[in-house]
Parts: sequence; C-alpha cells; structure tokens
Amino acid sequence: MNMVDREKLSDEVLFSLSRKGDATAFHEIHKRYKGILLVHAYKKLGDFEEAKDLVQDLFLSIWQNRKRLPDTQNFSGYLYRALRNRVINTLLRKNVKNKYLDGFKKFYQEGRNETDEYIRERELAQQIEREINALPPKMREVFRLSRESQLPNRVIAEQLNISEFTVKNHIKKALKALRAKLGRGAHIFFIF
Amino acid sequence: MRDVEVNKLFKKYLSGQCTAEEKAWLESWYLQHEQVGLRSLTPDQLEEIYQSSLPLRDRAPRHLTRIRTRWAAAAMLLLVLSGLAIVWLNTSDQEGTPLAQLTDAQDIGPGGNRAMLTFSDGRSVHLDESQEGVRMAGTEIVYLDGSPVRDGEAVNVDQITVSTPVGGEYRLVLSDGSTVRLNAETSLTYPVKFTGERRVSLQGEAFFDVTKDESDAASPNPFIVQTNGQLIRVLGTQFNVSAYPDDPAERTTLVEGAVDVQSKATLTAVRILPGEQAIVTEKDVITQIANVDQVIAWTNGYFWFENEPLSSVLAQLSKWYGVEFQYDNRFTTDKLYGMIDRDKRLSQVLHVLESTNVVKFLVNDKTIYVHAHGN
Repeated sequence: MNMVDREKLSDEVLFSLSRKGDATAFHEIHKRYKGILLVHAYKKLGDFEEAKDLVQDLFLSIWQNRKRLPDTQNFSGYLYRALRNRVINTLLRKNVKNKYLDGFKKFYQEGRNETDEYIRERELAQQIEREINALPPKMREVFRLSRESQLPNRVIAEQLNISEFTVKNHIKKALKALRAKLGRGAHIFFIF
Repeated sequence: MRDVEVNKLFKKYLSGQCTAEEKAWLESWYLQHEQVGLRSLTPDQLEEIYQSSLPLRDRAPRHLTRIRTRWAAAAMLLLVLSGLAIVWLNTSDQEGTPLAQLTDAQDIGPGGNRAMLTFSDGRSVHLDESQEGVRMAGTEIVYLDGSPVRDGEAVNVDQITVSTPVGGEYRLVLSDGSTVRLNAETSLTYPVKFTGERRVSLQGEAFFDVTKDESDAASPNPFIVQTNGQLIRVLGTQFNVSAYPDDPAERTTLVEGAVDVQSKATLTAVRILPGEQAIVTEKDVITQIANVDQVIAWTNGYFWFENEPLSSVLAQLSKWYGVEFQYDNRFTTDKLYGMIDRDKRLSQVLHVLESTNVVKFLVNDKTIYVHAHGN
C-alpha cells in the first residue's frame, strides 16, 4: 500500500483507498466530513441525537458497502446526496409533527422549484459547506484547515462552476430567461 | 396537495421512482427546509461537533520502521453497535462510578513501553519505560538509542526472555537484525546468539520483521517461531502472530514474503501468502484472506475493530488497560466497528463506546461493569 500522508490526499483518492479497505483513508474522510454533515442533519431534523445517529449510520453503511460502491469523481457530491436521502427518509419516518408536510405543501403552492439537477446538487453542497459559517470562529478555522488538503481539485471545480448562486436567485434568473423566450404572460407550472 | 399525496411523493422519491419534475420539487423543497437554526445548539453539542472536525495531528513515530511511514493519529472513530436485540446482565447489585463522575485519579491511562528481561540464569531486569526497545549487541543488551541496559550482560546465559505485562509493549532487535514488536501480555524467548537455525518461542502477540540469513545464500537458515500450538517457518518476511493462551485460535498473518505454518497437534502444514492468515486451532489449520492493516493496526498505535463482537473488543481493551470487564456473555452477537487510539485514557475509550447509546459503564477500580444503556 502506498503510504502517503492521508491528510494530503483528495477526497476521491481517499474514497478510492477506502473502497480497497484502507481504514485510515476512510478515517480521514470521516474526520473531514462528520462535523459538517452533523450540522446539516441537525438543521434539517431538529434533533441532535438523531442527527448523530444518522451521520454515523451513513458512514457505517459506506464502510460496510465499500466494495460495492462505484468510484466517483465527486465524492462530496455523492456523500451529500446520500445524506439528503437519509434525512428525507427520517423526516418521512418520523413525520416530525407533520411539519415537513405543511412545509412541503406551502413550498409547492408557491410554485417554484429548480429544475436543473446540477444546480440543485451544487446548492446542496454549498449549503452544507457553508453551514459551518454559522458556527463559532474556532470551528470554522478547523474546518477550513481540514479541507485545505484537497484544494487542487476543489479550486478547479469551483472555478469551472457557477459561483455564489443560491437557488433562489438562480431560479429568478432562469424564470426571467424562460419568460423572455416564451413571451410575456407565460406561466410555468408543474403538475403531477 | 393533501398530506397523503406528499407522503406518497416522499416514498416514491426514496424508492427512486420519481419523475424528474417530482424530484425537482422535492429536492428544491429540501434545500430550503429547515427544522431548527444552529443557534439552538448547546455548548456541549458545539464542542462535540468541534471535536469531530479536528484535523489529524501527526503522531510521533512510535512504530516499526520500514512498513509504515507516519500514520496519522487514529483518534476515535465511528464506533457503532448494531445487531440483534440483546439481553444484558441485570447489574443492579453492582456498584461503580459512572464515567461522568470519574475523577482523574480513578481514570486509567493507556499502556506504554513496559517490559522485563529474564535471563536463563534466573536474573531479571526491568526495562526503562522511556525507551522503546532493546537490541542485542554481542553478549550485551542495549536500548535502541545505544544506552546500556543496567545489568544487561548476558555472558553465561544462552536464553533470554523479554516479556510485557498487561498494558505493555516493547520492541526487540535480535542478534541477526530481525525485529520483533511485542504487544501486551506477551513473552518471547530467544537465544543470545543464533547458530544455524534461528528459533524463538512466543506466547501472546508479536509482529516480526525477519531478516534473510546472508551467511549461506544457497541454504539460508530459517527463522522459526514456536508457539503453544504451531511452528511458523520463514526465511525473511514480515508477519504478525497472535497466540494468546486464552484464545483457542492462533493466527499468523502475512504482510510480505511467504511463511509455512505447521500445527503441532495435527502436524498439518500450510503456506500462506501476503494478505493471508493461517488460523491454527487444536483441530485444524485453515487459511483465509485477512485485512492485514487491521491485524497490524496495533503496531501503528491503534485498535481497529471491524465486525467484532463486544467481547472481543473488551478483551483487547482489557489487555491494554489492565482492567476486567464484567458483562453477560449473551450479548456477543453484537458487532462493533471502530478505531481507537491506543494513547487515549480508558475513560475516553469508554466514553466513545457509550456514545453509541447502547452500552454504559460503571467503573469500580479495575473492574468495569457493562450495562445496557438506560439501565
């Protein structure tokens, strides 16, 4: 096995090593992401212990299934999608005082969604990674440091992609563009 | 939209059967959904998050050379208990201190460099705990940094035993340059000088890095490790042997090269290749593919548990911390995954086990009672 310092490897390389059973690589991934995933899950679920369990289960399941998981060029994206799935599953299962039902209905009535899956994924990543900013500075610093190891890939990715978009203002733009195409008075809606 | 429709949509989503539009709705909603703000986090919870995102610190080199360069410190990592429902010992009559109330004085530190030399003439010498190991220099024994071991002359002696207590580990460089790393509660007996065949005997667990014998390239002298149940014959290689008297199975795991393992009981012999493990029991010898890094994790300073019953985890901890765990054997179906830094204090280790919300400990001096969480 190649004994490079795990802290200096990109997520994707670490994941690749993890798939081959390298626990120190997996440990590094776990260290890198556990904090932000926990914060995100907490915000969405409103229950710290439940968020902890969920994140722990997520990592355990990745480790247990490591041999069957496909290689990925975007590990964090994969991780965030998996987290989202688990959060949605928990919300559904727990039916958190029907809060999510009402929330969803309200959202649906307002009639706005982001149709571009790529933008949604991006927003999800930004949201998860930005949530750390709401935390005390010492924690932000720690998180920032722990992420620096994987800068090259990330920086390139950041620069290639759209920067600093929230879904909301992106939707605004998209709607504008569509309206321009369809002409005034056109409405966009979905039905299912 | 009615509640049941929303529920249906969520279920459809989770089973991957949404249309692209439905998916867009749900995922867009998810982005703006928020149950609580982060301000509601308590200081303890913040600290917990903070701890979990600490970057790894470089660990001082305390490992065997060659195979592994600096491994990042493996602090405690996901430790998850899962498995069947379990029946716990009703321990209401047992008393002890919960972890939260444990004072520093009651806490137990990790093991360290502790070992003793015993010469075949009956003398014995305690080795310095600030040193990592000893090596043979002719008929003298010196520490790895070259300083002499007090009373470490082995003039009229042919065999030496180096032994570690519970909570001890030590390194040894033999006269042929082979190194042996002894885990806790382990002893290795070897001749002061090898002549011809190199033979040592082991009880407990050790990691061997055996040099090739250069004296006669045509027929190099083998290196033989003798344990209670087997003979392990090698030429030059790295392997780990676990042969504790309280474990009915002896395991030899190969890192590189090739070794022959022969059972003393059945005389059956197998050859294992790198990444393989030979398991010798009274009845037979089997080989299997092993997770080598896991097996030798202890040489890099951490425990690595993978799908192991709680009993096995506690057995390993008890050898390192010198404590005894009291629990009911019936819950051995539970499986554990995790890594624990061997430098942590016992309370920290137990705390991470408790954080699974399944198990709880009461500490009574060196006896630790294992309870079901909530009892």
